[in-house]
Amino acid sequence: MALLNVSDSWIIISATSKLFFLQRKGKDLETTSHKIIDVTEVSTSLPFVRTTYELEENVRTNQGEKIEMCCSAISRDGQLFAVAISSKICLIYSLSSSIEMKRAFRVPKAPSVITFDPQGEHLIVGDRAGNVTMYGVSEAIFSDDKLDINGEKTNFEGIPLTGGITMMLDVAFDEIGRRMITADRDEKIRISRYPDSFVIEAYALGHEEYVKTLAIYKNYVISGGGDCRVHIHDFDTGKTVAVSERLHDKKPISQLQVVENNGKLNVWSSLEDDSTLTSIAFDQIFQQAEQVKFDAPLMGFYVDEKTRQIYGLNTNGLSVHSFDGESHQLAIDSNVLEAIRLAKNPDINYFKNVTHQNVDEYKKRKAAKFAEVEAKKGKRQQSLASQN
Amino acid sequence: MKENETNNQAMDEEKLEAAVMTKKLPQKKFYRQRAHSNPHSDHDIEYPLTPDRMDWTTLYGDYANGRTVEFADVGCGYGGLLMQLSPRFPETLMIGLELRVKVSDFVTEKIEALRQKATTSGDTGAGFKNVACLRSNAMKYMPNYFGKGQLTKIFFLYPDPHFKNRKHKWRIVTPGMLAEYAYVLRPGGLIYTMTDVQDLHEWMVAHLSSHPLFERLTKEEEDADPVVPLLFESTEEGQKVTRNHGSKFPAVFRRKENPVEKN
Ligand SMILES: C[S@@+](CC[C@H](N)C(=O)[O-])C[C@H]1O[C@@H](n2cnc3c(N)ncnc32)[C@H](O)[C@@H]1O
Repeated sequence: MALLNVSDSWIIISATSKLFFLQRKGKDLETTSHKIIDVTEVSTSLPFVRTTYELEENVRTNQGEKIEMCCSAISRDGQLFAVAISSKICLIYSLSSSIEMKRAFRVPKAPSVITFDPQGEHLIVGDRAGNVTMYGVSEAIFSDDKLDINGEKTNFEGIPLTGGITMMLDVAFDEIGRRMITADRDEKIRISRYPDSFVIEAYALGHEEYVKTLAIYKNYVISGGGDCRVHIHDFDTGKTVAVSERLHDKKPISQLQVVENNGKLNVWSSLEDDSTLTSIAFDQIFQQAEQVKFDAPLMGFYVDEKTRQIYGLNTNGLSVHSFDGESHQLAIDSNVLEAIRLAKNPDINYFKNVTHQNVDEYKKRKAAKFAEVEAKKGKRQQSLASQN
Repeated sequence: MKENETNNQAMDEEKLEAAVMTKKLPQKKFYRQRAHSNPHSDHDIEYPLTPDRMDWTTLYGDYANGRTVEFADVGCGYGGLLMQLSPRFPETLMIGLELRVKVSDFVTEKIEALRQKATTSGDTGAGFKNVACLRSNAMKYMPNYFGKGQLTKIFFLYPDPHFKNRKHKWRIVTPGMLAEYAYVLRPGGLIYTMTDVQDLHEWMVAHLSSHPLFERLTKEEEDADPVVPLLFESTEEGQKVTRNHGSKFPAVFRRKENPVEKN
């Protein structure tokens, strides 16, 4: 997967095992040169965490394993960058004038989403097993009882926040970090207290398919995913406020970003495997959608309200569209392009994979059985009647 | 429950015939099913997108009008507890949640038969119109059926112990799952657990006791609760444990108020 993160001073592209840090300057890049960090070294040298029962984990190594990027994030103040990689390692970098790795640590399950809390003190990681865990940004933190969210003893660092039987697909926070909002493969959005996440304040339901991406704006939770519609929910009650038209007849919404435009909410969204970016203003109701076309399907995008620019990452590189319609390709080094093209997307289908139609099959068997019994009975009555 | 009970489809035709004709109580043996269904896999379970969209009259008929479900028996099995609770709480709607298709169908048929019997015998109480069973996965879909604080009692009777370490995440009581149960349970509402497996009992007590939203009832409070005696023998699993002279470990927990948020 190729990932894009943008802060005021950096554009970070993560692809294959490499992180590319490009310095931003106004509407352009400072230089075409950039810092490259290959995470392979860390991945192979970081010691494994001894698990209590998964024996094979103890002897496994990351040697020779092909690394892919899973998910990434920049802290609100733009000072920290984090990335999770396929060898189940999270790395945190500080983004001052020089780029330094602050921490690297192993996590027990494949990470699917990563974000900093608004306080900037913790890194929050959601995984494919349905758990959300809180990690220290500057040092390892542990829960008092060293139990994970399933009540199991664990040697991994981190404080468990929530767990469910699903796949976590996104995690977001309100402005002040009192609430954590999580989205999952079971069409659910959960609004929990933070960090006291054992108190669930509300569920925001109504999606007909998985929920892939979340954004918060004032008193709204905005979400998108498999049902191709933008949903807006009340932040306190989770109740649906509005649901957009389908943005496409099949392509799911892959990423959302909310932007304030003239005091109004503007929702930007990209679709899976699609080169169009859609923007819909919302003011009591959804307004007419507007579109920005890129030259290839988007892997990631970022809308900068301040500079009024839209960045889009695809196999042709990184392009910038300004709000007034002008667009150009940023000059990036060929090795960045190469990594973007080589990056593999994870082979996950978020749609439900129901192979056994248990209920239908069962009902059919039952109906057949009962019909058979009725038929036999009919026959017997007939023969009884003919005997008389 | 035995691990490898066969998926018994060979039905005893004579008995089935009798049941069809007279709407007599269905016999368990027609409905035996594999003891375990993996709660983590994708099942073809039907559930409402939101609790508002759930039409409870399909389960309770007119009896659902003006009433909301307040008791949930999680993993209700063959439904023995619900049948005992029904006449004792005639004004309360109660639901059994059962993952196995055949078993939940058995409970539904049984309730139907009991309702008909109650009508013909002139039952003046709820006549089993306050009980129903849903085939569902309680570890996934509770918030789809029930709103915040809707339930007043949740039962976990003789849940599968899942002994192996790796399968602990299958256990129905875990710190992660407790947050969801706490959400649908009203402050003051109760969780009842019962098991014959001491390890599981200790596990459930440990996790419920250390959870900030639950507190265990004192021995006196437990003794005073008229529902507690039903935890022992009303279900078929409970009766089996009695036959095998097993031990029984009940426990009851109260849902506390949410802690006051600091500013
Ligand atoms: C050992 S039986 C006990 C049944 C009943 N409570 C009794 O006491 O006789 C446990 C039951 O829980 C059901 N079950 C397990 N996980 C479940 C889940 N996630 N949702 C609903 N039912 C579940 C199983 O199918 C099984 O019928």
